[in-house]
Amino acid sequence: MSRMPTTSEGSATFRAEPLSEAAPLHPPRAGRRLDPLGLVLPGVVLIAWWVAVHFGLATNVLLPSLSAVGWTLLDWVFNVSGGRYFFSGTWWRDLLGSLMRVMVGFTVGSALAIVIGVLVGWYRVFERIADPTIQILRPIPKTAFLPFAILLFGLGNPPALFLTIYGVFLTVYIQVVVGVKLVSRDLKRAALMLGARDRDVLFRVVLPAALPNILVGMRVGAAYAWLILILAEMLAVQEGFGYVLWHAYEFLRMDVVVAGMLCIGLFGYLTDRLVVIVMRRKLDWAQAVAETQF
Amino acid sequence: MTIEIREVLKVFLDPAKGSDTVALQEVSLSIGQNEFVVLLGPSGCGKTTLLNLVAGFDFPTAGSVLVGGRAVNGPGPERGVVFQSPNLFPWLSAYDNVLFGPRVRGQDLAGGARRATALLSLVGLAGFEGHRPHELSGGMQQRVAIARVLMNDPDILLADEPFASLDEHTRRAMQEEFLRIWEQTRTTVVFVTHNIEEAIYLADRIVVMSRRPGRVKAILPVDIPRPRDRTSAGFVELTRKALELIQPEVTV
Repeated sequence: MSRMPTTSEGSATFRAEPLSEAAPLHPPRAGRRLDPLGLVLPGVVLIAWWVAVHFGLATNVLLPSLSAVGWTLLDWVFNVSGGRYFFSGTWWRDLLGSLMRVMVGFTVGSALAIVIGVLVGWYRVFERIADPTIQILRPIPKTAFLPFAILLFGLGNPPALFLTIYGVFLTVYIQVVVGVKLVSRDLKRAALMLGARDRDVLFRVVLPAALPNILVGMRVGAAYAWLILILAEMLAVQEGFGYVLWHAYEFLRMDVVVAGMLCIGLFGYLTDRLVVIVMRRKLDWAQAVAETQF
Repeated sequence: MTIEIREVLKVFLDPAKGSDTVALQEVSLSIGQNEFVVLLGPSGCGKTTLLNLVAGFDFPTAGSVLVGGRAVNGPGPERGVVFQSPNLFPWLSAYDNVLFGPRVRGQDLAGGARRATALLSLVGLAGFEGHRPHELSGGMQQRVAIARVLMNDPDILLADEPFASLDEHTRRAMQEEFLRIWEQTRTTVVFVTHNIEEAIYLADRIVVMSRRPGRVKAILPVDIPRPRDRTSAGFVELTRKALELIQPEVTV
């Protein structure tokens, strides 16, 4: 067998290619600045609203004026009316209550989904035990469990938390299972031929590789948490944004309803951003996901 | 370490279609210590299947695959694999990809750290330790994949068309580099390719495989001293011979 001594020419042929050939690290993101075009539709809606109220196109009951909503918000937050209405000055209580329930529901639901989803996605036995049941539960609207939750747990936090956890769990679970199952066979083989045992493959390869799907699931799960919680608060809890919104509707106080919708939208947006920030930090390597998600 | 492939049959079952595909039939092959063997054949001839059997990713339907005298019963770090695509762990830096082997094997990382840096510079990537795969070009990623495997000091290096997705010039540079590394590390190499020039440039021995069901059609020793001139008479003569053997196996 002929063996050639290592020559300096040999190494010279193996220069590193310039980095410019590689994908750019952080492509410039045009969307970071506020795009004025995005403000057009909200502007149209606000003007249409103002016109409808100003020219009496809708009854005051159906469509409160902008200023009525503004005063209601002030009263809700700061109790400027001196406790005249059921919602005067209760905003902080409502906010903390809703936020606590969303956070607990989201955290517990996601954690359960990740643990059970990974077991089902990775171990065939767990898939055979758990997946059929979950697939039967899945098409039943998550909110349809509310009557049972109320009868089982009574009114207050327990049924609301139960329903939120359940809804978040189902939403995230599907993505976790898909994420674990989608990890490429060759990536697992690469780990095995490098000496990894099954446990290493699971924790060092499958979990990180499934993280994009898991985080996408958690993002959808955060939105679901708000959706389900608001409904649960409407029917089962005596405080929180959902309670105020529904109670106001019963008094036909649509200004309060609109104020409630605005608050839910704002905090729903904030929790979504929270998940997106985590995604940005953890997923800079998963460009395909990164580009479609942010 | 030697490789013994004895009377191997590999059948893939497709329960959905109820049809079986015979990928390998009556394949026998002995590969010696430190030998550089290239498996050459048209696509679909089972050369990757054969490599996977040696890697332990799959098992023969009949017959046996022995590495160092022992039947292969799964993948292991003494048989490093370089895949067609780099298959790096995309969330790890080049450096951490190279250190993956020692980490999962619970080895001393103080010495490993020095060695990882040295290996990355051996494959021409000094200064790129902290880069993640998506920040590297395809050729650079494949070099990280080679360094990652070398980190485990494998007795056998299995390569499955590792340069197929590179452009011609990068591919030639990588071939030269691969030989240089092989000469330094002295592992046994099984290298799969459909590229005749690549086979002749690299191999001690070329195993030409027939179309499915894959069999060993011919074995061509390459007696041209290295470094080989791709335009020399001996090289061209071998190219002609290989073409004559392979052309009838190509189905379009």
